[in-house]
Amino acid sequence: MLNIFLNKKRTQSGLLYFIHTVNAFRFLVLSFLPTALFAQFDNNYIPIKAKGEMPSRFYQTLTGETEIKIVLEDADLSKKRQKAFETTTRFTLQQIFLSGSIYYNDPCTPYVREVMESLLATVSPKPQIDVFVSRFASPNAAIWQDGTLIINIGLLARLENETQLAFVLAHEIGHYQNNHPFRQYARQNQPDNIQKRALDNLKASVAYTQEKEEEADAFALELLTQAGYDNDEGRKALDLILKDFVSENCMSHFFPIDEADMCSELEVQTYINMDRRTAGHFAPLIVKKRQEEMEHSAASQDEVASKDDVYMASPNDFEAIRHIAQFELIENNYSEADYISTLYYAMILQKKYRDNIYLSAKIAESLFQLYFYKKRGAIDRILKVNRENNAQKEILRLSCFMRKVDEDTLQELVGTYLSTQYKNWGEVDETIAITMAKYMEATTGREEAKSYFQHCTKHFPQGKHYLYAKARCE
Amino acid sequence: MLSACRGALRIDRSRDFNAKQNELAKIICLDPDFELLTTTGKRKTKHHHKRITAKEIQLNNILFRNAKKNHITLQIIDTKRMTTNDDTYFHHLAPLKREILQTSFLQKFTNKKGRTPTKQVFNTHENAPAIDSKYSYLAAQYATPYFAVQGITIHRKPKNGFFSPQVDTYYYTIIADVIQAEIVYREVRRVDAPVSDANLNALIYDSFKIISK
Repeated sequence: MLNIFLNKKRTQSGLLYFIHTVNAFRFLVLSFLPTALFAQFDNNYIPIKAKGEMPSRFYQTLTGETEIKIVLEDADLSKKRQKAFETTTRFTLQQIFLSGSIYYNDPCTPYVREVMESLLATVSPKPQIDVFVSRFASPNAAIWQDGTLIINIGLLARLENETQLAFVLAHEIGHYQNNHPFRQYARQNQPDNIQKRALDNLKASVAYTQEKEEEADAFALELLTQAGYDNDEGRKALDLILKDFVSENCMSHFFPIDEADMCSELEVQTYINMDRRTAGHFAPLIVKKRQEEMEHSAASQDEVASKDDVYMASPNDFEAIRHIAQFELIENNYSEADYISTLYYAMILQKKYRDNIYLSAKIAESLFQLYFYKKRGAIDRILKVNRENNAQKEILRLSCFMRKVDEDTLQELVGTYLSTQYKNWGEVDETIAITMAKYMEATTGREEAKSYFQHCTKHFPQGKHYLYAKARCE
Repeated sequence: MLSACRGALRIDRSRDFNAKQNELAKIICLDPDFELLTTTGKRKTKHHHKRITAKEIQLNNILFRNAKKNHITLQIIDTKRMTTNDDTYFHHLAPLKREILQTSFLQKFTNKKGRTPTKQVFNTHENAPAIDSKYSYLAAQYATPYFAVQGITIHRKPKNGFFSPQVDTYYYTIIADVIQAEIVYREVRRVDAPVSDANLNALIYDSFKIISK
């Protein structure tokens, strides 16, 4: 196993050789643990919670104590505007960190940081970049001028291997090394452009121009080669951002969806195209190269790189992180009220983990929420939230179905699913038990639902929903 | 002077809010915000958010003082006083704050005709907006089921002809009952002018008066 890493055709410095040797040792240790890594998802999943001491950098960001370095010879902004840029950056990061959307003391962040370290080891002088993983479901990553890089869990869930993750990180390092966050801000704050001068919100400052994206792409590809990663595999990262992590229709057996259910208002194809255009803007060089490749050889699209070329560390490491990310994506979609996506991704994972109670509970909760908002006449608002988060065909089809289906049919559908789950897990899982009780209350009234709430208080006296269930019994 | 008199008040209460007012002795206020929102551009579509920390400290004091005057104990969770080993906020309260704001957004203010009211309106809801019941355990932890999201947003709009930029001040309060898992009280006040500290004090006093009576 050690030879897999030592025989790689890479030009390695002493430091890189050391890193690879350490990684190989980790691989040896972890290769004995694959069963344990994935067995944890077979029956249940416990979402990651914020716990323990806050990392120092995390705390510095919250208190605005981080230093924002701007090294630019051609900087034409006044000190006042540089100060405004720093203020904007700090406020935005504080808002993101305070929202509770950033993980810490979690299993994903150390892994991503390790990949980042392997990339930064080849950059001289080594930039000070701190990586955080966010709970955001959209497949994206962003870097700020103070060296804070945030990668969304939605992106981690979609990537297929370590090289693709390395490409995403390298692309962001490219933005940082070229001072893009600041340059973009400066461009939009030229004194002669009155309209753009006031446009100093961060969203605009990270929406880079095409040439900056190309610059970051070129940097990323070079860095991947230097760090010993496979360039071609890195390019595939973009394709994955555009599609589901499993591209199959997993819902037709459950929801009676057909093409006639498509809503003209949603214009599925338009949304998909729009997303592709966004991606083209995000990494134009990669899109262009990928299109050229596809033209030359249709087979190259499905080419799978051998595992030796795509992992510096262990494939098991990446797979474990990816699976956690997929479960977290479900959890975070639900907390963002994106019930359609929660339903969709939970159903996909359920194909792999049939007996996972967490997935059954999330499907039950999402179905109930959709029924609840349908009953209250607010389903359009829910679908609007979903539309902003997704451009995937299957999810849009499900949205259309939810919009068109009448309340009674949905009630029956939800009731059938919940009854089965309640029968199987009602005494084991609090979420399923309480969701059933809520469903009964919504359909038959509080008096009839009392026995279900009493069931919750009896079986889950230490549960999070206990006080709610107890109040419903009175 | 005239503009200072203009504005709107919208209050949205759950059906049993009046019965609950007697037991509303303690409210946990989740990190009040003081934000400046600047709208720019010809089509008024560009927005710039800014959080004003100094004003937030001032707002905390005003909120605390006026709650006390109305016999309400307001416990303010202030993230500016957070320490490195304080994981309570991120674990329990930040998700609840997000949940309250999200639910409030999903079930917006409407009148009987389904339109958003523009002037003084008091609504009583049969079906109050429901939050997730998984936060009910917080009632035991904080000795009250009432958690509030409060804040001030100052909205600066672009100049209109010769007139100076228009400034609107919004004060909002959303109170959730985590045991009943619903939003029991929502209030938005708009004053079509920048407000002084004295005016803000009066505004917040009036708000707590309505909540407590």
